[in-house]
Amino acid sequence: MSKSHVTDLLSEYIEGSLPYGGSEKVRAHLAFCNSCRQALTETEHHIDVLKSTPLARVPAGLEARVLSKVQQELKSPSAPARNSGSLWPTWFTPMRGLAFAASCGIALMVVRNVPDDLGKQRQQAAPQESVQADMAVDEEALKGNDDARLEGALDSAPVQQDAETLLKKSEIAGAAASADTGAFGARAKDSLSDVAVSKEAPPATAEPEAAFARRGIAMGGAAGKSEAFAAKRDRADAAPAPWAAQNRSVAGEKKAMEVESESRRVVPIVPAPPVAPAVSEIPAVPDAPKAKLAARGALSEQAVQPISAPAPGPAGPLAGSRSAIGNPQELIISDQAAWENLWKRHNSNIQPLPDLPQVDFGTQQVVAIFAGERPSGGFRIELLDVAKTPWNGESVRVVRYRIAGPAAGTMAAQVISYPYLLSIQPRFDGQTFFQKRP
Amino acid sequence: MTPAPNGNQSLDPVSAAQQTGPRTMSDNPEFIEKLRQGDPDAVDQMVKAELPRIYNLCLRLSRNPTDADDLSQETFVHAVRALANFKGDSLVSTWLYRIAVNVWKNRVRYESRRLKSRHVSLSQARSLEPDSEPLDIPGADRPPEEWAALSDDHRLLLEAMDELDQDDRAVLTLRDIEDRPYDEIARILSMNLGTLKSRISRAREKLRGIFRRRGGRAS
Repeated sequence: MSKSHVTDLLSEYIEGSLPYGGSEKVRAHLAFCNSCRQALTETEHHIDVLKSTPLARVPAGLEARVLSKVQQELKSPSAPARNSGSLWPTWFTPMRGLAFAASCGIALMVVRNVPDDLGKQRQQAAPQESVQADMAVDEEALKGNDDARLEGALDSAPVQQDAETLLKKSEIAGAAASADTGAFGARAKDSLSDVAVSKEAPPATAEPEAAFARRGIAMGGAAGKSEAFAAKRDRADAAPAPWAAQNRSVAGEKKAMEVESESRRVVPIVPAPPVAPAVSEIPAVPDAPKAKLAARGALSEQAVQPISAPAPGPAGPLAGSRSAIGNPQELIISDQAAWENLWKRHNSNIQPLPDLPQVDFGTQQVVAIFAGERPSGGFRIELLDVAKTPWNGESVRVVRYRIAGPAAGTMAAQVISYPYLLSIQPRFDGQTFFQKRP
Repeated sequence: MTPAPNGNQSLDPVSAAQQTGPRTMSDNPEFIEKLRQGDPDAVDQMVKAELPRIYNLCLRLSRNPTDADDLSQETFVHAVRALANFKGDSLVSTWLYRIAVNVWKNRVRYESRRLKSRHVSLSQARSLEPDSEPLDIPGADRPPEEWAALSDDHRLLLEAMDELDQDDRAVLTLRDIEDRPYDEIARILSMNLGTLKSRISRAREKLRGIFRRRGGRAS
């Protein structure tokens, strides 16, 4: 019998699921190993205790809520078809089919080491020249060398449709390889603009994009693709001369350049939407911009009316929708100075400053939640619960809240609002977590 | 099974282990077919029969009634959306358990991402740094009646389970609290049987370690 312990087998030993002979070995080990025997006793005890865990009752109203939601879902026009007799399985939707087809196409391209289909079509069009041209394109694109040679090679086999297809596929490949969705969003928009350009540009301008797209794929990801497009754009914008200095007709080339430049004007590159900074990156609680305050004042006279602060107390939160603090914040205020500071910031759009609610910071704290800018009235912060709980061996406090918007189908004031909630709670000096419920 | 007449979290004299067993509803092909067709009465019947079980699973996994309430609703909504895909080759409860576990995992993932970047505490001298700890926060408000009725060891064990990671907690909840058979748990968690057995073994060993660290002793 091995001297090593059998604690990793005890679970199966208790369940009686050890393979043949295993139980005997464990039993033999247990006969002389106090440590494993104790582990067995404890584990059996734990299982017995856990199995006796009582079943909690379902809260009143939950069944009604679930039934209501479920019936609503059943009646919903967007509910999935249920056994409609279709030939296709229910999970097979057009979008999934397209995604599957695109994936297959990409996989095929990768397996065959990039765009052989383009090369094949070229071979059909111009068997001798196109082979050389394709090789030249690949080599030159990968090396990132002389544009004039690249253009010369491309002139012999213009295949615009393939270029567009490749651009789209390279975008998808880039999407698959991109881990950063935000970065991908910006790149995708660039790519889309380029696709639009290539659709409107003549074949001579579409080909280099295909080469760069292939180069992007060869580099194995969105980053490569993006760099390829960026490099191509830089060269096209900064050095148009080599593009014009070709063996082709100068007039035709100029026209091509004009069309391309026109199409770039028609389809501008859309900048990525600004990303709101994470709260953790904000060094201090900023006030709402003055312009917003002015706008609020212009929209509603009430915006400049002082709000009256109700008597403080654990059960009476201050809540509303016109805070001057414009960014989302979740704060615990533990001392008078911070409270006064916050109160001033929060009411900086109101003159005179409302009276500061009294808080005894010896026994109380303020839980402050600011929802940030909301597009209309009707938004409010609901404090669900504030409670202490053990976590990782220490007691922590959890503040759960929800930002409720105007109900669907109801009318809401078309003003920008800044919902807030200030709740005076019993003081707690441990860690506090905020949980925003959906 | 019928819901409690009042809304409070209180004890049911029947244990979770005793509640498990063969489900006649799931064995009925006609009922399954009605469910798949989205028959409102069949769906109602399913909700009424399975809600207590699903709510308790959600309560054990999420460790607080508010989340359990949300997760239960979400589970049944997801189930209704996927009714047509239910082939009836497993019990309805197994299928619902699987949905509930996935809904819970998604929720934990969402909360973890969110809380890591959003927690701000002014009492920490404006450090304003995101929490680096994994965030899967236990129930802030355990049902007081249930809690009071438990033995010290029982309370300590449930608290020790809170310290387990979510996968370990899921397997122990399903195996030791819900008393589900191995093959069913494997289906619910999409694991093979061997992996499940070793995970349960490891989870029990971890639980024993935490229990001892917290001062618990086997009787």
